[in-house]
Amino acid sequence: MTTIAGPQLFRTSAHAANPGELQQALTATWQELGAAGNDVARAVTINFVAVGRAGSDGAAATADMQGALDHLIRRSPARAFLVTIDAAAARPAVEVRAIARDRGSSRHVLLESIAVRLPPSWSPHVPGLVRPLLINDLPTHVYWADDWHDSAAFDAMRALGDHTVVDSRRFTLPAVQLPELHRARTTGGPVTDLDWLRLRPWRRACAEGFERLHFLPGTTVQGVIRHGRGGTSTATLLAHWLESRLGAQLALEEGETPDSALENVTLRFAEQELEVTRTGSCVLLKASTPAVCYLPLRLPGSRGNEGELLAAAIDIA
Amino acid sequence: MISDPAGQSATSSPPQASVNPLGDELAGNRTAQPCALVIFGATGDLTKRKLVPSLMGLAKDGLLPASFAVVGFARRPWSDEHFRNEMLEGVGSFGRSDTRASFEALSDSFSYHQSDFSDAAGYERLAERLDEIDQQLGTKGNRLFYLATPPSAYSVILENLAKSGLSRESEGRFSRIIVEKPFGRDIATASALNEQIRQGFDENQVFRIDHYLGKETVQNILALRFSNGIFEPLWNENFVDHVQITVAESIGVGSRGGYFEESGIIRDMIQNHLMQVMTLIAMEPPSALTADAVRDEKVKVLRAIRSFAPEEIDDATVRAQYERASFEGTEVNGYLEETGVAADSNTETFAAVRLCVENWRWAKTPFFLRSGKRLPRRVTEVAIHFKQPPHHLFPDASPKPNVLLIRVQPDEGVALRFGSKVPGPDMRIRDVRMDFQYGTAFGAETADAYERLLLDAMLGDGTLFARRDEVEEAWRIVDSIVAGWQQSSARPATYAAGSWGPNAAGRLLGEGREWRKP
Repeated sequence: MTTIAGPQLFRTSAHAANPGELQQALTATWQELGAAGNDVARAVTINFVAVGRAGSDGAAATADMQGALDHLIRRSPARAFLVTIDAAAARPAVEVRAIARDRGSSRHVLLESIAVRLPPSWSPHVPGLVRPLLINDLPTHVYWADDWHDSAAFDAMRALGDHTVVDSRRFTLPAVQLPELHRARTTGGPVTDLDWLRLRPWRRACAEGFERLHFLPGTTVQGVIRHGRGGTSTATLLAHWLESRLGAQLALEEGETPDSALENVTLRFAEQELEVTRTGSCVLLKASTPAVCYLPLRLPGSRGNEGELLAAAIDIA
Repeated sequence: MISDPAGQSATSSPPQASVNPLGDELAGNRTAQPCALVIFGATGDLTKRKLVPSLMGLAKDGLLPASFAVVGFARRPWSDEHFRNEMLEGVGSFGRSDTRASFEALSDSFSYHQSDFSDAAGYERLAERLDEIDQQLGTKGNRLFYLATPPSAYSVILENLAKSGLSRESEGRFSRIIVEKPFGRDIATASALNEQIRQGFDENQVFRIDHYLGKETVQNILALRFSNGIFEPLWNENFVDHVQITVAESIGVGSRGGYFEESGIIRDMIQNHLMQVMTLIAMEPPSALTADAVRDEKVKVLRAIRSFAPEEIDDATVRAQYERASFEGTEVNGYLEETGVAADSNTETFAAVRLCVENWRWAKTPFFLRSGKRLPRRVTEVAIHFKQPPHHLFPDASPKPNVLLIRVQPDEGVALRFGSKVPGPDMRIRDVRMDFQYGTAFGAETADAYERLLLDAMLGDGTLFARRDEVEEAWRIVDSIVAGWQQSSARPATYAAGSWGPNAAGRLLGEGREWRKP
């Protein structure tokens, strides 16, 4: 057991278990938290279930989730299930650990993390594995941390929770999958897309730009969205939004940067122009009409941190 | 084309008018309208330690309008560059994590305007500068003025703002003013200040800031009372024995002896912070969460408290000064030994007051307000002490009354004390505590109170600001206490630095009650 960053936080060691022994592993974790005679109380406010898939290199889509959870629990202490479907896994493996805040003689449990690695054949068993351990009376947020081809699997996980989070940046066929996602929104519980939140500074900058321009309904808007090499899905999402709001005709261009972020958005209509460009941690808005060229405005860019976005998504829900 | 990914339909609008087709992105949350903030006294500590770091907290959270500017107004011959450097240092030292980047992104929007507060030409130049900023940054003629100066400068600034026309609102442009406490030192000076404010600003343009109201836990009083079904039925004289509100500081007056001599704890703390918190505890449910609905109910509480007659003062109040003692391992001065304090001073560093809210809800439930310096620890809390059950079923047990504790700072949260059976064959009862910790449930880093209040002022939401009639009603009550003390021949009691106040404070509570030692 070790004390981690922040003198008040305490992290237990990992307790390995079989899927059928999860309750015992949780008990062992609590025993470790109270081993020094501390009073231990659960302070969690949500159940959180993340489901992802290990890549061909063995790296799990949920591997980054441990770091994201550190951010998430600052806002929403959680019992968290991190489920990774791994084609290389011969049999299921489970690890349970916890993080607590030391408050004098008592410890408040902020995170009970249950990391589950399963072979693909176990996929149908995930809801049955998770459901008995969800804490009653707390909202359950499901994070689909994967590409999205299998609607049945998605629906099965979605049925576990009150709110589902996806990250459409992971979508490999966004032109098909984004409309599918939109359709999924119309049934069942609420769905939040992290990439939609990530686009907030761009959406806001475009809206600020139109505050300075003279737009009449029905005006034809044309534009270009330039994105990094991994940013097709993000660019498509923004393009769909602008098309739905402006009737805009938009072209997507792949830029030189290797990441998935947007680089630049340019919109033109009736001799007016609006340009939003990423500059460091900000986005820069330029707007001009035939009569006026406004001074550029800087707006804070997306914090982009997965944990903070997850926390925001859960707050919104 | 597909429909809006946010799941919302597009905004329809008249066909000929110029519209912002994406306008809901700006209006959909609590982002303020474009505006320029003018800080009078911009070279002072408040600006550097609180105001600008709080603005950057808002920027970090995307809550500042994109078209936003800060103009520092003060006498010192600073350049824009010097002003920005000072503010950057303040953000680095006193801001939330990661707010330096926000400042660096917005630093071009910060400028400095050197002028004497009494120089009318300085205000004309300010108006011209603000017009330029409107053109360059799109701040749309909206102005927010912040008086971060000593109160002695308020009068001349208010006069010049009115004369220069900067206080006037027109054509959808707002002009608002934020005034820092103290709002006068008695009802006469408060009324005079309010009257002067009224020369330039209507009441709905005025935001009197009491930073206590910006604290999350103070706002949570409203949430606790009115978003839960279980508390409000008990929230009256039938179930509540009494209420204790404590604001304790462990520090002495330090270098502020001269200032403190003029105010004392009753003016410095009780007239504003404690009475504001008390009104939130005692008020009736407002009809809506709007500024006037909430403040109407708060002021009714103050109106239901009678002014004290001089002969009531000894029974209803206690005042005291701290004495030299060993505190936290160090011998600390008594109040009369502090710099700037008169050797025969009667100024109180501790006060406890029993207030009776004479209305249907609270007729027999006293409110005890207590505040002091050099108390054992810095703490602010509200303790609702409930009555004992009418029949003692467990004769061997002597559980304490239930207490609902609202901790404003530190360890922000809510706790409920109740009796529970001790496991075993006997029916023994022990007090236990159910404890909600704000920092644990919602994260450690909460926004500074000034963030919320600055944002509300930009949004024009006065709910968390003191209205003129609230301020004057609070002064009416406090003036009657001060008058009683001045007429009394008795000197203030004394208490050892580091203790919970004078013994005399205990008699205020009456039989069977004790002050909490938080």
